[in-house]
Amino acid sequence: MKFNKKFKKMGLVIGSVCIIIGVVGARYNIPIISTTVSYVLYPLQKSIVFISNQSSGIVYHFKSIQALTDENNKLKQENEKLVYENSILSEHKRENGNLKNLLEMKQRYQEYAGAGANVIGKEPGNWYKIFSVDKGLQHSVSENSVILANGGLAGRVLSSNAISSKVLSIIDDRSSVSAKIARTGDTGILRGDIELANRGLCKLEINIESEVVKGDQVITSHLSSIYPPGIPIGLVEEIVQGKNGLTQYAYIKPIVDFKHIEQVLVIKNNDN
Amino acid sequence: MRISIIGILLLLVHALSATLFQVLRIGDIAPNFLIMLIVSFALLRGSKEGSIIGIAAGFLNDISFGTFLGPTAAIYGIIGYICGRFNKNFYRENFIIPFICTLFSSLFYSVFVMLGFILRGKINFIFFFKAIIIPELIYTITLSLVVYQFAYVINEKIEYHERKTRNIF
Repeated sequence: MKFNKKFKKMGLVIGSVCIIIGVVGARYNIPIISTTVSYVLYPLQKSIVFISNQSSGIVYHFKSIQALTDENNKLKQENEKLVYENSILSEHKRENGNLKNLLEMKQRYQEYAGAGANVIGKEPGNWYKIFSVDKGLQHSVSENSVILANGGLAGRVLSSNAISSKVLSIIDDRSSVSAKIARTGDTGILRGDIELANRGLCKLEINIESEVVKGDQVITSHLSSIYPPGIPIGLVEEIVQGKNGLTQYAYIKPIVDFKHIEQVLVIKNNDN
Repeated sequence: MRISIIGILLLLVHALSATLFQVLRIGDIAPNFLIMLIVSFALLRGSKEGSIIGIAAGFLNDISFGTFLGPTAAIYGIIGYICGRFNKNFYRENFIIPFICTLFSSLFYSVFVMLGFILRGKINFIFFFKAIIIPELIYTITLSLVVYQFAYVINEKIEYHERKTRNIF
């Protein structure tokens, strides 16, 4: 009874206080009770949610392994397909670029009067790589006319008489061409090299900072006074560091096959 | 007679070595037919004719494939002259002498061409000897045995003809 009386009193006081607080809170728009309740409830809810999540997660984990494996397989297949498609697309991109180059090249060549010619003799010795063609001054082929074969640069005319001309090929040790790497835009000097000539390669000297990689396309640069810009020369075959640390050498495989060269295209220079 | 035959022979050999004999390249090394011819005729006919043939062959080479006129003519002329000096001292039927003469002539020519490379700063002697000079030398001296026999027969024919015409007059 005693307890009951005390409890009644206390409950009355607390209840009235609560009501007052609630009324005051409601009057002045302060969410006292809800704040208090939320402070009490928050850790509780949090822990309950946490535990339930964990437990249900574990259950779900065991449940969903099979589904995940299936999905993974499906994604893998899709990924393979995408990679394949991507490679096809990049191939197309490259092909497109090449075709565009060719188109441009054709348009460019139309600016120059070109003439076909046959190779009628090759240097009999083993040191130099000179060959002669059957077009001369009569066909307005003169000194420094540019010689192309198979769509790539073959060399330039060294000297010409009335009916034939001597051509210095780009793999000859005495030849040098100002060249550019099409991808990065670095310019350098392409020289023939006696040690590479019999392998059909020539050497491009470029800056050490150039990010040239194997397979890059090399074209003639805009700097040369003899060679028109944009003529493809060949692809990078190998990269070698220079001894002095300032230059690197890229070995270029020309498009032209100098061992079996038969027909060439002569671009007459319009200057003279 | 002699001048025209040897001239035609030189032209023919030069034209062939620039075109058809390209097929004979082994590992991109071609033999030097003009040197074989010069050495053979110089040994058979003496230093005067040898040097004339040498200079003519050298000019042919320079006109067709040289950048300027002269150096090959000078080298071939010297080769013809020196080989012609042996004319009086040896029997023509001996085929060791043309062999040795071709060896030294080819070496002489190659070293002179190599000099042109050295002046431009390419001083990789080992490469030059291993990859170009020695293979060319071996190829040239091997074929020189055959070429000398041909030159010998042609020379005999010409001399026989000359003797006959001289007898008539």
